[in-house]
Amino acid sequence: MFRDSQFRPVALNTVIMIVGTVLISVILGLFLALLLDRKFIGRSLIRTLLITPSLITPVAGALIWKTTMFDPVFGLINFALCPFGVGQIDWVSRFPLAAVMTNLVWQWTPFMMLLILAGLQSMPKDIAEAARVDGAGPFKLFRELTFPHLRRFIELGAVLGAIYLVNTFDAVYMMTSGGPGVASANLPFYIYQRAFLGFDIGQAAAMGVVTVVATIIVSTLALRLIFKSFSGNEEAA
Amino acid sequence: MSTATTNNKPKKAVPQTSDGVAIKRKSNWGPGTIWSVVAWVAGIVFFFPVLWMVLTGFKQEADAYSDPPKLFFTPTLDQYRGVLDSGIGTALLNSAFATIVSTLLVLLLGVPAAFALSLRPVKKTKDVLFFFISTKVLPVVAAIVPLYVIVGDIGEHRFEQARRRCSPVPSGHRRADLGAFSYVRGSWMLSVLPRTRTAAVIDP
Repeated sequence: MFRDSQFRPVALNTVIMIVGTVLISVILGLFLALLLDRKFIGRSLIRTLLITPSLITPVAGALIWKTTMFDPVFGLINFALCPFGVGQIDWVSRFPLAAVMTNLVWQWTPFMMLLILAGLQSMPKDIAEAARVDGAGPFKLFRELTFPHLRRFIELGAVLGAIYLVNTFDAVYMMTSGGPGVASANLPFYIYQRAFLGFDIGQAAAMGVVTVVATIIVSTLALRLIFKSFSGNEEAA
Repeated sequence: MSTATTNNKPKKAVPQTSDGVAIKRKSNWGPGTIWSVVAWVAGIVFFFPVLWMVLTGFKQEADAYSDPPKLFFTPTLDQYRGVLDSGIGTALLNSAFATIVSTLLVLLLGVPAAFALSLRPVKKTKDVLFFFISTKVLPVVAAIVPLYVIVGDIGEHRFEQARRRCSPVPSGHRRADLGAFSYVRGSWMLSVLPRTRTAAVIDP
């Protein structure tokens, strides 16, 4: 398995996919949660609209992105970018991994947003008020008070997201089928390819084991961190 | 300053420019509005693909795939009729069956396990919980591999048949359901378990 020349790029794809998706969706989710933490007209409507992507079946979500958004001729992305001189780009085959990740980010941002929003709303208001009276600006307030409070929620979201994203299969299968070559294949998809298309069941099983061992090592460390930060403080939740 | 504003409350109604009023008006139309607009735009951008899917569902085939994309069109229910006529019933029944039965099994297995672990914690309960969660990270396809071999070895069906049944193309056969299903059961138990346990510990 380790001599398989395709294993390494596939493993690297998996890492890029997970780390990239988690990072981008946490940042976007944090931004959206901060936006939704204020009162404005239509706030609950916007919150519902923002949550919708995570309610869509992953297969349907992948199809939406592949056929209506990224399509080279009929896609809405190309239509929207047309005035800026972007021609008919076949996004899915030119940037396969990025295309799959866009779909994943779209589906995972609402989850992160909800988690962080819950964190924001569990934050005691009097401390922020006191800091504001003491003359702390919005940026300082965020850095010194809000962010340390949200850290636990962000960590939890990142670990949960990563654990689920290791298993991403439907998005890859629907959008690119791992291609071109193995440019966008991740480990689950490659295992599927080896087992059910290549009939190399032994190798597929070995890769399954490697995936699990690697994730267990990473998530042990991450979960330790979370258990520690959540059991240390009772008001979390 | 603050005493002055509280004393002159009736004076505020008069459109005379006092400091407090000017500041208040600025905060109404200043950065606050911009952030609200940003929130609206973000919400619509995130929702747009879903909206487009819904719109496309009501289009004729020619309108659905067109360049430039059509925002205005004469709506039709043809596509829905087509889907309902093509035998979506079996798929729906399969989904309902898998969902309901696996939820029941998860509860049946998860609740006693959670109770047992919270009432009489074994040594290193945390490690046990972690072991449960770790099966969640096993890729579904990797979990199907052994099931696939088992099905092949049973000899109840020929190998080819088993292979077809394990392929992820949804065409409604029982054996493929069973594979996916036992996996779902296992992994969902794990995500339910720690939560139930925590709840049980907090609320004895």
